[in-house]
Amino acid sequence: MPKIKQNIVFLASFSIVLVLIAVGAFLPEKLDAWSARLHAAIIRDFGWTYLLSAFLFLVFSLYMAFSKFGRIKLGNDHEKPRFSYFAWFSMLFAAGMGIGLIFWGVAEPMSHYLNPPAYIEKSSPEAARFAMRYSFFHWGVHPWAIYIVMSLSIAYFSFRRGMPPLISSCFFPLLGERIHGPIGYFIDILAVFATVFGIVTSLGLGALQINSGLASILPFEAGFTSTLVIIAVVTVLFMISSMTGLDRGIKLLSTANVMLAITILLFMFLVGPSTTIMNVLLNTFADYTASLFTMSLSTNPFRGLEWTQNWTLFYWAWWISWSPFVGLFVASISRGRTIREFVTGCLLVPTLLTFVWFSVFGGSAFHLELQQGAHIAATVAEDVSTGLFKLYSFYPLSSVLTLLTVLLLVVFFVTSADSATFVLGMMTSGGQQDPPAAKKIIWGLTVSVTAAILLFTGGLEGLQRMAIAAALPFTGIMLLLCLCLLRGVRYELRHEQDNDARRDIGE
Amino acid sequence: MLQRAAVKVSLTEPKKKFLDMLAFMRNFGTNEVHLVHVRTKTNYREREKAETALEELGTEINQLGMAVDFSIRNGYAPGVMTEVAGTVQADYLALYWKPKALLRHALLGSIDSDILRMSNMPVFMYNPKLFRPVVELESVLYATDFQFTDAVVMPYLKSSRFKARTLYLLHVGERAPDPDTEARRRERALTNLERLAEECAHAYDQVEVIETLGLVRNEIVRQAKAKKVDLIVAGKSDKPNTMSRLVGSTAEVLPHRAHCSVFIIPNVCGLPRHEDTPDQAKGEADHA
Repeated sequence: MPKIKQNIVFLASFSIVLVLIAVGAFLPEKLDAWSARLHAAIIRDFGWTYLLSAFLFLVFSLYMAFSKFGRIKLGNDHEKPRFSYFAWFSMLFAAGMGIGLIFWGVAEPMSHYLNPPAYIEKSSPEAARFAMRYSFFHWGVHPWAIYIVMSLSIAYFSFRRGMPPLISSCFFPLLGERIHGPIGYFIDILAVFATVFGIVTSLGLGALQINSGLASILPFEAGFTSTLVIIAVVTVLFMISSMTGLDRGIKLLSTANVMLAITILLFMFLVGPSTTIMNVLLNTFADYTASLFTMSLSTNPFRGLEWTQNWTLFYWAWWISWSPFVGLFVASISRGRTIREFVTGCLLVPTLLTFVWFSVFGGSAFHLELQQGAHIAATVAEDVSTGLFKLYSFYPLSSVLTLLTVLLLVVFFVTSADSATFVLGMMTSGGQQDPPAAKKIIWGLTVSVTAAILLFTGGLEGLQRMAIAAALPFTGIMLLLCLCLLRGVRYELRHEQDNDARRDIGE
Repeated sequence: MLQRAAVKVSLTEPKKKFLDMLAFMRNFGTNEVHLVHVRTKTNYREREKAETALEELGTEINQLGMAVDFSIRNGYAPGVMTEVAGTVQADYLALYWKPKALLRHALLGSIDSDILRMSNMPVFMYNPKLFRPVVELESVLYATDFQFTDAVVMPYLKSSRFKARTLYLLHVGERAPDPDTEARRRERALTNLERLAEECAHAYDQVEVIETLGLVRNEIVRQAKAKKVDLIVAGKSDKPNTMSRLVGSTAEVLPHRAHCSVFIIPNVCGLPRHEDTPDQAKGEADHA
């Protein structure tokens, strides 16, 4: 392939990113106003599309796992998985959920408890039950179904069919050679766009949380300078991790981090109100499974539509815009697994860990809020990033817990940013499995510098809204991905495996 | 092979165009027709009137050099048609295709569609053109999927009684999931088409192969229109998939969409009688 053609996605996406960053840096109010208008229009008019699509993705994932296609391997027939189960689950969790879960583990149940939809009384037992159920829902099987559609398609078309690991490659059954033309470029550029802005906002918001965590235990005042230092440190760390390669850097950090997370989780469970936590876990799990179908398709047009728009639809759009990055990363670590193993692994293990996490942290927060009047909900209402640290203040060794959580945040950040630079490098170098270091450095620096600039100018939320706006075309792309994948696996079973069987019996 | 036809006649068809259909059928080597007129209820007077009309029609058909017989039956047309065709040992069923408006078709259904769906013998649907009478068979398009239908349809196409100048062999494929497999699939499809073309070469002045991608029913219609063919020949599977059961198989949809006549040969027809095999036909031709 000619060099210019190979770099067309890089050049185009880098230019668009620079333009939007410049707008965010020099005209933050304008970016804020434009993106708010665009975001509001999309959520208002197309919100139902997200809800329906996420449900369809879940149904599709289950169908792929439990139909005859489930036995197809994401790789050659006799290939073995590259990573052990523990390493695989750790990386899945780190890339897909880790950082958000720490941010929202306490904050989300408390926010729903304090501000439920209009038809539920605020700060009531019903609000608490609703808060836990919807926290499970927003972080449950649906986000993973979204990721699965993306990663399964990429894994199938790249590892099974030998195509470059790009989202555009998955469209071969539909577009043929046109994937190497403008349509293919558009798909890949959109993926880069969503990934860059997703990781920038994630890095910016995460830096704020690390900052407030450190400020609560160390004698300094959280400000822009300290946030800048945090971003710089995180950048150096993830660049080092990125240069060591996927196998060593991310794997090591992810497994270490999941072990650290489980340690904190166990501590909170054993020291905290264990019985309440177990009650919350079982009750919410029952509520969640019983009302999964209803929640999946409820836009609540006659009551609480605004709440659904602000939370559920926002989340779905966010998961979709986040999916190119997570999808590509998850695909790259899942080579050698069967479709059934892949889907059940992705749907069950991280989800169950998420449920336990919410039950431990949310349940503990509710226990303190209801039994001791701890005002955690009020703290969350003031500043979402401080909810977890407020909870720690009621526990022994709270400084150690805060420090460990900050460490956890930093490492999750490093793994997310590391995998993001790897994925961006891959997407902008024609799907090379080992993207050039120069591209990884360019993307890494772009992401960090942008996060710093936008934190300074206040354009971060605007950029997040732009990432969510990109989710709309991506929803369409993902629905088409389902069709392409279905065509691919059907073709394989209909034309290739029949031939193999005939060859085997000597016909 | 296609000497004897059971022809559905409602007596509302324009006579000229109906006779054009019978003239067209001579291209298949048809020389015997059994007209079947089916009514839901018939009184004595109506029956007499129908008999007179059929006799008159028969006389005109005789002038085309065909032997004619007819029967008038009461009942549900699709069921009666298939039953009579079997009783008179017809080689195929012929229908004068009258397209129905979408709404009418959706509400009332179509007798011709039901015949096509129910029949286990070949069904020919004549599409009368509005301005140009179609009597000669210049070109035929056969849509093949290289599956079992080839074994059933090819003997008809290879028969020297089947008179057409040009044969188009069309394969509408499904794009493979990756470029390498796609290249191999294409190559295989073209090899198969060339093989079929070679088998039929003796019976036509020109045999052309077309390999394309897309939705089968759309592509058949598109290619038939592009090549201006007079007849589409297609096989019909006896094991339709779920989608076909819901929206109709390609064979069932073709007459509605095609701009020319359509010949559907069901899979269950099996191979033609021994004396009708191409070698036999070739022998007959040599003898003549």
